[in-house]
Order: sequence, then structure tokens, then C-alpha cells
Amino acid sequence: MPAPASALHTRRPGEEHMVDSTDFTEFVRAAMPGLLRYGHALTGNPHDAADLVQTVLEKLGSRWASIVRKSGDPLAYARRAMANANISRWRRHRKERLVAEVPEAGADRAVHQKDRFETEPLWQALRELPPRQRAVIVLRYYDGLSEAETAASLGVSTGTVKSQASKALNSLRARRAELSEGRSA
Amino acid sequence: MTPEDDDLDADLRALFAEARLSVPVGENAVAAVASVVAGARRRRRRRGTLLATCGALGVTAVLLAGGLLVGHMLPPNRTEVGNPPGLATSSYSTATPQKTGPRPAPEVVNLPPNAPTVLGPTGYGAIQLGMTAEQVLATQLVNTPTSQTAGCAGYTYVPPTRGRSSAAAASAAAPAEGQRTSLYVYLSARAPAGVRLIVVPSGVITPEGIGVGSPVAMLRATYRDLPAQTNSGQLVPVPGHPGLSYRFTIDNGTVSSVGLGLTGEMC
Repeated sequence: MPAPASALHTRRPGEEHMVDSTDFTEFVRAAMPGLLRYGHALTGNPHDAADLVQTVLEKLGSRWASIVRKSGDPLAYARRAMANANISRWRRHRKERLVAEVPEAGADRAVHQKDRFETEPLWQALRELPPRQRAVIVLRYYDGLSEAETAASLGVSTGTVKSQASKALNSLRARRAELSEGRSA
Repeated sequence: MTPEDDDLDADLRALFAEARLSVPVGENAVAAVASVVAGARRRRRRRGTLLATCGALGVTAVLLAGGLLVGHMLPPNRTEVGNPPGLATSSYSTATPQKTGPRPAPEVVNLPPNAPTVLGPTGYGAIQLGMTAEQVLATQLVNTPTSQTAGCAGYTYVPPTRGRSSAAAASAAAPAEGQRTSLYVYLSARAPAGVRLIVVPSGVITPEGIGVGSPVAMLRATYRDLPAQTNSGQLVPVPGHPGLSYRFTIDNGTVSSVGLGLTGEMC
């Protein structure tokens, strides 16, 4: 294309779509197992993890070149986006989810058989946390992020991170104890 | 902080470190990768249409920028179809109905003069599995990586072109439509550290003669008793080198990418 280089695009057009289609596919292939695992921790089940990864990666891929240029680290970008998308998605589907939870659990055997944490009180307790609290826990204990980093990732204040973490840990402790007792009784 | 807190901290860390947190995807992952790439393309196309509409509203600068953007976002479909590696599924085929026919095998492409033409059995020319990033660069087969990510790094290397800037090298490589022009080297920080996978440009073949564009039938005839496809594509044990595999991805009945790596997970 003979047009002068646009301020938006310092790369040559050919380079751009080379990066776009090939590089992104390579990234997805390499990052998918790790992101699914991360999604499993965030959502509490492998089925939602797959949905979450799919949605976030599609969005990321549609802006791949610019995200790579601006963030320099698409993997970190994807993880942040997943934590946030999971929170907002839960908010959107909260009502139907509360209704659907019970029958779905029974109907979805195939997915459930893969969830080998079913009998673990701590995992169950984690699943029952509201997603923002769960995200705070995952970012801290899975990603090893500090409070400030967690706050930046989720776009909230460090005060919010502190209070959410403290609420989450209290619920986890209490709920785990209840579930353990229930199980041994 | 009470001892109870410490327990919970440790238990949470242990829980998140568990192997069974990994989501068993198996063959579905091939379809998942394909479906992500197709989905991203759909979204990009929708946005491309929006941008084109903005351009039509009249401001010359917007028109120009919009035109450039659309040009970037919507490469000719032929290019898109030829390029993606790792898409070995029927779901990918249905997602992109416009296809070119099967290609002759294997493709011929103008590799840089210093590029090795054979991949294997333990590396690509001087670039060997297990090398560090520094060692890879020291082979002088490659330039500085053009992309990399934390954890599992996918480095894109542009073949070096003597006496030209890297932009010139990139544009020289770009016209090869539908062909892989980059060399990918995956380096892992986790054990076993170093290069775990090498994906080569079009035109490079295995010692047995399989390259991008080889029909699946030829692949099967060349490597007997192929194991099942995994989420990384079709693995083929490297003869005489336990623990190493060739990784082929298959798209529309032909090999769309050729790699060599450790048999385990990439990341």
C-alpha cells in the first residue's frame, strides 16, 4: 500500500497480518492449558472455565496486534481479562444461576465427573464465594499477586481488596469447617 | 495472624497447585483453539465493518485510517486460511467455508540463504531443543524475538536478511501469502527449561520429507502407526529419540505446520 505510514500503525501491513493470524494461533495453542486451569480456579468448574477462556481469547484475538504492542504481555492481559469477565458475567447471570444451580449439577454428569474436587470442603467453600471475593483469593494465592497488584488488575481500590480478602477468608474458614463436620457426621 | 490463618493460606496455595485443577481437554482442545481463532476473526470482521462505516461518513483522515485498519484486519481470506497452524479440526473447516484446494506437497518457499531446510531429529540446524534464549540468538540464524509472553514464551523470529533493517526484512518476508514465514521457538522457564518446541517456516521438511502442504495421506504413509491427535496436533515420535516428537497440525487435509518438540506439554 503506497499510503504514508499511519500514526496508528508503524508496522508494515504484511507484517501486521502475519503477526495477527499466525502469532495469535500459536499463542492460543500454547496458553490454552494454563488459562483453562486458571479459569477452573476462577469459576470453580471446568465447563465455565472453557466458556470464559473462549470469550476472553476471542476478544483478545480480535485486537491481537494492538494488545501485543500496548501490553507487551498478552498472557498477563488474558488473565486479568478473565478475572474481570468472570465477575461481570456472574453479575449478569446471577438470577438464572441461582435457579439453575441444582438441576444443572445433576444433569451435567460428564462435566461433573471431571471435577475431582467435588468432595473437598475447601474447594466447595471456594465455589460458594461471590466471584469478586473468589477472584481476590485466586489472584493472591494462585497468581501470588500483592494487594496493590490485585487492586490494579481488578480495577478496585486496595481497601476493597483488603476487605474482600478478609471476608472471603472468614467465609472460607467457616464454611470449610461446616462442610467438614457435615461430611464426617 | 493466628496459626489457623497460616493453615488456610497453605491449604489454598496447595489447592491451587494441584495437578487435578488442570482441565482435561484432550482432543477437544484442537477444536477449542480453532473455535477461538474463528471467533476472534468474526469479532474482528464485525469491527472492521464498523470502521468502514465510520470512514464512509466523510472525514478524509478517518477514511484513510479506517481503510488502513480494515486492510490490516481483513487480510485476504486465502492468507488467513493458509497461515494458521494448529487447526486440525472439522470445526475449523466449517467456520471458514472459503477454502483453497489441497496444496501440492510440500510447499516450496524462498528461505533465507542461511536457513536449514530440514527439521530434526533434535533441532533445526544450529538451534537445538533445550537451548537457552541466549544460545538461540548466538546461532545467528534468528533476529531478536518479535513477540514473547511470560511463562510459556512464544518467540517469533524473523529470518535475518543481510544489510537490511528488520522492517525491510519483515516486508520482504510478508508477500509469501499463505505460507509460514516465521520461526517459532518456545522456551520454558520451568523444568525442563529451555527450548521445548520449534515450529519452522514453510519449505522446511522433516528428514522423512514431510512439510507444510503435505497431504495427510502422505503423512500417514510416511509415519506408520500414528498416535491419536492431541491438543497440540498430530504427534509423531522422532525415530531413535525417545521423548521427542514431531508435531504436525493439519488443516483441510494437508499439513499446515511442522514442529519438533519434547513430547510433554509446552507450558
